[in-house]
Order: sequence, then structure tokens, then C-alpha cells
Amino acid sequence: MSGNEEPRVLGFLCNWCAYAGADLAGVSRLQLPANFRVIRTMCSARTEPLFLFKALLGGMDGVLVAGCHPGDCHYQRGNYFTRRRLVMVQEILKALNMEHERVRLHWVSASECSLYQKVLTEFIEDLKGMERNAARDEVFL
Amino acid sequence: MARGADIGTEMPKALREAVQRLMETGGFEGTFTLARTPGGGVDYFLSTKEEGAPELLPLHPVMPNHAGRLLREMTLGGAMRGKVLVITRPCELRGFVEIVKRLQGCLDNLVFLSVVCGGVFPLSMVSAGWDGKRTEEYWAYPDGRPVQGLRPACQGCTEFIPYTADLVVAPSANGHWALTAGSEEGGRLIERAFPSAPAAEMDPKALEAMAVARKAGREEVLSHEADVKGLSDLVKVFGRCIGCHACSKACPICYCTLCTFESSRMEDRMEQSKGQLEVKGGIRAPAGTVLFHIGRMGHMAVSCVACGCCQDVCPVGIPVSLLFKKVGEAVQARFEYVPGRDVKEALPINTFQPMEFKEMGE
Repeated sequence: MSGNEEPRVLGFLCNWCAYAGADLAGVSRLQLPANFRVIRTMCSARTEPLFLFKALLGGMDGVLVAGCHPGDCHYQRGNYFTRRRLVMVQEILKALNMEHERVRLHWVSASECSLYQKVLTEFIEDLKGMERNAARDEVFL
Repeated sequence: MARGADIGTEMPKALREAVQRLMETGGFEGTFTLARTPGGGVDYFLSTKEEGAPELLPLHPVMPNHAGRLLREMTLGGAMRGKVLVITRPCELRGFVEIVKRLQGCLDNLVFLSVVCGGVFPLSMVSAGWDGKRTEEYWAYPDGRPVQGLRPACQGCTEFIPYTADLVVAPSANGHWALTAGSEEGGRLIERAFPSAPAAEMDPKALEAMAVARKAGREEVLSHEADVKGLSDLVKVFGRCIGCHACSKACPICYCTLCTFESSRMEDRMEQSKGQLEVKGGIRAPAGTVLFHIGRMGHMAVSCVACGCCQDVCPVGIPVSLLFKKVGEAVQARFEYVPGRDVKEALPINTFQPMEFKEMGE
């Protein structure tokens, strides 16, 4: 990204693990990037592909989906479906030669506040190395 | 596999006669096939008695509607009452199988007759007036003679052999055509309808030649406008889109009656666009045309059978089917999935293995 512009990142965090992990990070006073917005979903599987496409075409530089570790889903198997869906989204973006690196999936449990901090910081660092999302300036969407 | 029967060389007359014999001997209540409509058009017709029936044109080389889509509507409430002979192209059958997997249709009581498919012509050719000679020329396709003017989706179609049809019309040796069996039911039907016809088999050489031509055709059609390189190309390709949603209306996989893209949450109220206007200084109206197409890919790319109906109905000539074919192939390859191959095979997004795709999410 040019100059000192910060990437904008949207996160879909599952209520039972990642969101609780983010909450714990706040309570533990861990330093977190300020250019990150969170939408809480009851399960990571609630994040339908359309949400991700809408966020990307709306100009978000990155979209993070985070949920419980495989096997730990509050609803038994929601995160397995999420994983397949994210694979599908990345394949669609790849086939259109769009930047599939802007979409990322991570597993963060409710107790892993430092992992949450690490995941977020790394993602934002990676996004800083990319151009800003062209959709932000595109009027013909 | 039961033996196939030789039905001669004179297509499409031979095919019509074969269908006639199957109807007489197979115990069918009706047949579902293309037929001539008043005014010189062609469309699907469910015919239950001979008198008063229009001229049936089985496997006429156009696709006015996707048969899978029509069969879904007809069987959504339950199985067809009597046994029906359904005559469709392979992509129509595959599309219907995909929709049955989504519990939106029923395969019971349907016997499918399909073909080693030579593709179809664009719909616009029918409305411009059909030249009868074109049909005769068309059926020479297994010779390897290229048929001019097929739809782009058909030129690049590599899935031209039906997977789950009971009966398959296939090129046989020396320019002959054979009616071959794809299932036990199909074998019984052939034995009853053609007890004395000479035996004939699918000609593997013809199939091979077709496969080679189609692979080359695929490279060709996917290399132009469908070769999208990122957002700017996408905006260019869909820049012509007028947002009529005809592509989703024609799609065999898009079945939602309450489509999310037609709901009020996709309408752009000025209230919602305020932020966009402030940042960008302008928005296109109708808004969200690119989102519509990418969003639709997210909904149906796993099951896209690349039938080409979306492109056929596009009023502004966007290569929709080629883009969807390209994206669909990529997604399906990742899940090692072939849409419509087997009705028992689960949809990739409806199933999972606990220990898969480790690279996704750590």
C-alpha cells in the first residue's frame, strides 16, 4: 500500500470461539490493529460466500473468517462446511485472476487471545505489501 | 451391458422412427421432447397421445429451454404419475440430476434417452427462421466435419457423453447410428423395440475424434473474453450487463423462487449509497451487477453443467456461460466433482471430510 495508508480489514468471527478470543484479547489488554472491523456470527458457517464477495467489491482490503478449531464447533460440524466454502470462494477468485489472498480463514479458540493478535497482525502486514483494493475506486460495480 | 441396435444413417428421421417404436413397445404413458410450436418455433412438449400432438422433433439442435429446469417444475410436487420417455441432451440430464440432489425434483418414472451430443445452435437462429437443410448437415458431426455456428458453450464442451441416460443415441461404424443401452432398463427397452435390428455399438474412434476437436474448441472459446484478468477485466465484461437477471432465470441450477438478488436487500436505496457516493463521487445504476454475477457463481458454480443457456438468453451478448464454465471447472476440479455424474454423489458443499484442505485455516 502506498504511503502510510492502512489496509481496511473486515472480520467474521464466530460467537463461540473467535469472538470470545477477540474479547479475551481486549480484556488482556493486548495491542490490536485499529483498522479492523468485526461482525459477529453465531457460527463461522453463517459466513456465506456472498458476504465475502460483497465485502471485497465494497472495497475491503482483506476479509478474515475465524471460527472454532476443527472438531470443536459449537454446532458439531459448521466449521467443516465453512472450510469447504472458503476453498470454493478462493477457487472462484483464482479463476477470475482476482486477489484470493484477500480472503483468509483461521481457527482461533476462545482462550487463544495471543493467537488472535498474531493472526490479525500478520494478515494486516501481508495486506500492507499489496496494492489497495481496486474496488474501492471502481464506480462501475 | 445389453447390445445396441442399428438405427441406420438417416438422421433425424431414423431417430424419430426409433422414438416411435420405443413409445409403441415400451409401455410409456407419455414422451417429453422438443416439438414444433405454432409459428415455426420449437419448444419442449409432454405428449400423452398421438392424435393432435404436434410434430415431435427429438434432439432438434436448439435448446429453447433447459429441460432440467422444466422437469424440476413438473416434478417438484412429486414423481411423474406414469412412465415417461424423456429425450434430452446430456447437459440437460446432468442439470436435472444436480437439481434432484437439491431435493427440487424427482427422477422416478422417468426414462432418459440422450445422445452423444454434437451441440446446439443459438436460439437466435430459430427466431431468424430455421433452414431445414441445416438439420441434415448437422447430424454429420461424428464425421469430424466441423459444424459452423454452434453456441460457444457447445464448441468447447468436453462432457458430450451422457452419464446416467438409460438409452444413448451414438455414432456407430460407417456413418451409422446406434441406439445403445446405458442401463438395464434401457437394454430391455431396446430388446423389445428392435428384436431383429442388426446389433451395433458406439464407435470409440468417433468419440475420440470428437473429444480432440472439443478440447481444441474449449481452449479457443475460453481464450478470448472469458480470459478475465482481475477486477478491471471483470468490470469490462459485465459492463454491458443491464441487470435483467435473465441468465439466472434460464439457469437449470438457480431454483430459488425468492432469489436473494431480487430481494429488497439488494436494492440500492440512496440512504445506503451515501457512503459510496462520498468516497467515489458516483455509482452506477443499476448497482451491483458484478456482485450479482460473482454471487451467483458462489451459489451454483459447483454444479454448473456449462449448458450455455445463460449466454443464449443474454440480451447484450455477455459471454456468461464461458465465464461460468471457467469458474465452474476450477471449483469442480478442486473438489474432484463432476456435476450430474451420479445422483448418489453428495454436493461438495453439503459434505466434508474432517481431515481435508489442511492448507485452508491453520
